[in-house]
Amino acid sequence: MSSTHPDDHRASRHDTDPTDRNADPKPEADPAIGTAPAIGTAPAIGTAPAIGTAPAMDTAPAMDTAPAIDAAPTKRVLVLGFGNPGRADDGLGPRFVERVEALGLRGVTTSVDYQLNIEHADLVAQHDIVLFVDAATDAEEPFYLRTLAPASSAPTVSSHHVPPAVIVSLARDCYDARPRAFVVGIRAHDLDRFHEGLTEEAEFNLERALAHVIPLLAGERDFP
Amino acid sequence: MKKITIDPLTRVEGHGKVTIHLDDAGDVKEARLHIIEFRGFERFILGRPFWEVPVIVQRLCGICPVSHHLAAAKAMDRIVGGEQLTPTAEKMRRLMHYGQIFQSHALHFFHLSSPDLLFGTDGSAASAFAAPREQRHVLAVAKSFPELGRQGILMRKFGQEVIQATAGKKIHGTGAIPGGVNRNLSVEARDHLRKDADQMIRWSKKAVAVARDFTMDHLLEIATFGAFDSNHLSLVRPRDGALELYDGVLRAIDKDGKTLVDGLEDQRYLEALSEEVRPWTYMKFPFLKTLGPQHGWYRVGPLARLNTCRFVPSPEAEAARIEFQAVTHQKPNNVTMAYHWARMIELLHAGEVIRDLLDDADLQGEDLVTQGPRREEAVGIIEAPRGTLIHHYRVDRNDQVTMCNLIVSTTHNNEPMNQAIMRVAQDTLAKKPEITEGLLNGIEVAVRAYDPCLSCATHAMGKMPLQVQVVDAHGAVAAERIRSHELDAP
Repeated sequence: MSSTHPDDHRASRHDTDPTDRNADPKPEADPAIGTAPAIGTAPAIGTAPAIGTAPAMDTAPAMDTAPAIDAAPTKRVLVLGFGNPGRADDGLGPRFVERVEALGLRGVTTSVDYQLNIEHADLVAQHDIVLFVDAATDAEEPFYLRTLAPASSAPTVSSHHVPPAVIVSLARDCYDARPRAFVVGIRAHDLDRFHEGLTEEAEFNLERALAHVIPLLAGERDFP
Repeated sequence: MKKITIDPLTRVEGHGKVTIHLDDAGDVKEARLHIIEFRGFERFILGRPFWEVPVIVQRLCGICPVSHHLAAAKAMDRIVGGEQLTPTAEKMRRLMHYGQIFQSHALHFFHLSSPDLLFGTDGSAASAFAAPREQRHVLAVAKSFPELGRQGILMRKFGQEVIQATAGKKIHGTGAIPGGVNRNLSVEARDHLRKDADQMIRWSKKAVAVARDFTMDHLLEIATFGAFDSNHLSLVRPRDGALELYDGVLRAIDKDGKTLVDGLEDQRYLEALSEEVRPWTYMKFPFLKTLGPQHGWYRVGPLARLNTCRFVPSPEAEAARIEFQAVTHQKPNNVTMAYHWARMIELLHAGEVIRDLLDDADLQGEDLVTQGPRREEAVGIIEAPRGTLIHHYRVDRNDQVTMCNLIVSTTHNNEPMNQAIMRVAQDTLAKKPEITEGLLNGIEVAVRAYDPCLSCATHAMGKMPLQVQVVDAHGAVAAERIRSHELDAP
């Protein structure tokens, strides 16, 4: 049994290896840690923008036939939709992303998942601007676009779903990445049925949200 | 009798309510973890065509859909007479399953339990190793240990990529079908995963070290915290008793290591196991028939598996298991908090299995499906991340499911979690029916060690956070406290 005092685990911000029981105050970096993430092929932050490509494991490639619309070339934008398309309007996020992906916007990466989890911090950290797109039941009609600050506490008790603000916070603390983050909340009306397809009201709201957000993604207008 | 209620539990997968019952003398007599979500999935599945089941049952859970997918697929293999899978199918499923183990263990450790381990003591005797309240979340881990946090993120991501490569999607995939699989592993996917496999093993070893050091540094507190003797149950490899998570025979031992059940084929699980229903919860209480409900309950999951197996069939994890077992002098480990160390040893094992499987050319084979004489009843058992998972079905001649019984990992651990809560309450309350922060935190730390998924256990989805009540000898609520989703909320 080690004689190390329990408080030794209370490491400082820079004491990054809790497995090293006799760590020097400035330990040598693990050559495997601190390098670019080994998983995934997206470029490290600060390298050339990922134009027209998407991380291999997260999205399908953009449609070849879609017209390319120029975006500001220096910004890497991620549109991350989440929700369950099998629960009616909960599919708003994925549908939004589907529509954006079909446009083939340069510099815009898309990704879809059922729910957010910690690994999305890795994806978020590789972009300059991130839009989280979700169905919203308590939002104003037809949608809202809000800036998102990193979470200061953890408003979650389960790993089944991690809120966007926590993802942004993890990207900041684990990757030293500070993308501008936004939430697009599209008003939903039916999340209870086991049904694929949006309600008429949600379809209407989706169109309004797309009409507002696409010019931002295309670089025709600036993000707020 | 007095009763204490805690609601909700945080950082567990689901919503729990806890009542602590006191006797006339004010001592803790019993603790109950109530599951108040409705259990309905077995009814929902009735009438569905059997080939849909491996896909449908994944909707039970967003964290371990692969476990339900594979347990159901194993049962349906037998329905179509295809339980002797082709090498490609068996190895694709095995790879998928160990990817699931890897991502789930990494997620639980880094996201849910690491604050308990990394932030030391809050100074109170009752919760000697509980993290201070303001540090009990993954963001504090990320801030204080950013590299460790990043490793956790990338390990979870790696496991998800293994699942996507084998099941087609990270969540709700379709890779396993009755009698086999619907795809092999592409060379591109294999190479993509291969380049990171060694890194995952290195990081897994670091995670083992974190859990080991925490355990060894707090051995005295841990030995009594939520600790109790129990039986243990899991699958093991038939020929040699090795740790086996995808397919094996049932083995159970008692607290001292004496064999209670051995070599029992999955189709015969009902010969050994039964379930008791109690009126205050939707979650049943499984037990070994030979010992009855009072003495026959058992633990499942990483701790139970390391206790029941004779060895771990991968070198790095086996070395870690030997070190783990030395603490209890080769006897079964009955310490609740030892789950964390055991879980990380399994994480390492899963990493080694994935790495080795990726070198197997059978994964690129073309023979994917087999079948044989049709059956009308079948059982599929798998060792899910949280423990033994049993799927049992009957299918009629019209291919429709007529009976479904699921015994999920968290249900097996029902009585052990009640026992753990009772021990914490006995150590904390000291005849004062007061729900202190130490009691709340102690209960959560104890329950969290089992990594329960209360969503799975009740077969309901949703955000489900803990409520604690103290009930006196006359049934009156003496104290109550509710903890919401928000950690900062009162």
